[in-house]
Amino acid sequence: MNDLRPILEHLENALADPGQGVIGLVDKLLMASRQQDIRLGWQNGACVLSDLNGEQIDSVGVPLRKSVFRATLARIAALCNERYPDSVSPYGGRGTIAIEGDPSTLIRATFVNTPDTLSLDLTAVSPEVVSPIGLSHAKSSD
Amino acid sequence: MILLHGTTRLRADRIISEGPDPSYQEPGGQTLDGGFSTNLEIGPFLFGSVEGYAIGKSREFPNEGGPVVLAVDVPAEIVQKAASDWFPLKQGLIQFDYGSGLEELLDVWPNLSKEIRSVT
Repeated sequence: MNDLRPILEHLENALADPGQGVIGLVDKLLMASRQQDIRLGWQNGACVLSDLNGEQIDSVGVPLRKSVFRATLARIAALCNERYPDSVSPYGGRGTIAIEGDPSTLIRATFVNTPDTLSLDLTAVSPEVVSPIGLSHAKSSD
Repeated sequence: MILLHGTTRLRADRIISEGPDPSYQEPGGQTLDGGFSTNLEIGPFLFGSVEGYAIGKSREFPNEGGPVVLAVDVPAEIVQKAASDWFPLKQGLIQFDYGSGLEELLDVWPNLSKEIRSVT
């Protein structure tokens, strides 16, 4: 099992400092996911961090409004659709987000944003494994 | 300030007559429980287009009259109540939650100018 303590600490810091709003939070999550695959959920007013096998690691100690989490997922959807228009629905799907840098990184985002389920997986991927044809278009309801 | 909300015609009609209802239960029993999300008409649209939300919701609920955008003219002081560190106005998304402008919005709702715009 990977050590998620660094990403947990990073996420706690990001949630404690909403200075750049939801947009800034998403930027921080994407930067963190360059180093470590992460899964986020929302339960009982808090973020829950898991590894990608679903084993819960810890809850982030900073309370988070549900609307903030939903907006985070909405921003992820918008970024996916910037790269490939209509690749995901606002309510869920799988797409990719490019992070500029040296080197630049592609992040695969898989998310569900519905009234009863809020979840987000972020995984760094190699550019050669991602193409518009290869994108999944899984969608979910709202 | 003109705020936009993407939804279906059935829901837009209900919102106009009754006001936003965060406890609204969708067909199937799901509770939205998410406040009332809008975007400034002037943008930016960093969280996706309002029309996209309307189309997405209409796809999931095809018997609700099709996608529309509800436009509401909300006094600036009430919009400011919804602004917060997480939702600064400059990011375009105006999120009304309990304790963050929703009560004030509901108080003045019957007196606000509203219109439904078709989405094609």
